Amino acid sequence: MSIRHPSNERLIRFMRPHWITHVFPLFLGTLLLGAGVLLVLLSGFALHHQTWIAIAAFFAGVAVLTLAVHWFFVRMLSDSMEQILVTDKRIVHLQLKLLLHELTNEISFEKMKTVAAVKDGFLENVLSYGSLVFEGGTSVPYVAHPNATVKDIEQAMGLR
Amino acid sequence: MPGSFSVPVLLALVAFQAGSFAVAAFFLTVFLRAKHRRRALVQSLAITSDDDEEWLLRWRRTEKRQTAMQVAYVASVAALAAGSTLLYVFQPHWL
Repeated sequence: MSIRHPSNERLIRFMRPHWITHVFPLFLGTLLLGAGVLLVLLSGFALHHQTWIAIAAFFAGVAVLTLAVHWFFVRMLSDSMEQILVTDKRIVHLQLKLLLHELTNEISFEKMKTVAAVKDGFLENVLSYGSLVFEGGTSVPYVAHPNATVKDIEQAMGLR
Repeated sequence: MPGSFSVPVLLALVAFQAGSFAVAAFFLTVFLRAKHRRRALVQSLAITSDDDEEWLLRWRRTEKRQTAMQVAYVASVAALAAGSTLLYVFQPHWL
């Protein structure tokens, strides 16, 4: 379903990046949580030998857990702000990394005439995600089903 | 940690967790401001307006997901603060 606007611009696709982008934060978050819990548990074992080591391990564990929670949620909230909008006139790629990076990449079909779907490597082919590569080397990574997206974009280019 | 309880350490732990809450509040404030800025930006690109039902549906779905994440974030920070403080104060026998 598409939407026509007073400016005669149709919204064709509203996409979020492929779920593979969440795998790394989940993996690292779990790893940090595990390390934190391990340190807290180890503080109990160290107590009977050295109290100060037990307290240091307890605080280190709590610090690692706190770091893991903040890093994980900031990363997930940032990722939730990434959107790819395809209209019949342009593609807008919006990306945000809290306090670190903000990107609004607008690719107009008036200047771009070709677009390619690139699925590079085993994972990208098996999980069906890849990059949209435009003239001049501009690319939009982690697009789910890039071939279908390119088909829509090419149709939109023809409809201009 | 039987026998290792001390008030200064407890105060340090409470101060640390208060700092953690402050960090969470700061990040959430920055995120909410960015979210409102993003919506204004998308609307200014003339791709959408508040009249578009499909856009609104998708935006609301995204916002619901983001709200759930924000709640989970605050809940996790609170659980960690409460958990670590209780663990230190009561020092269960297995620790």
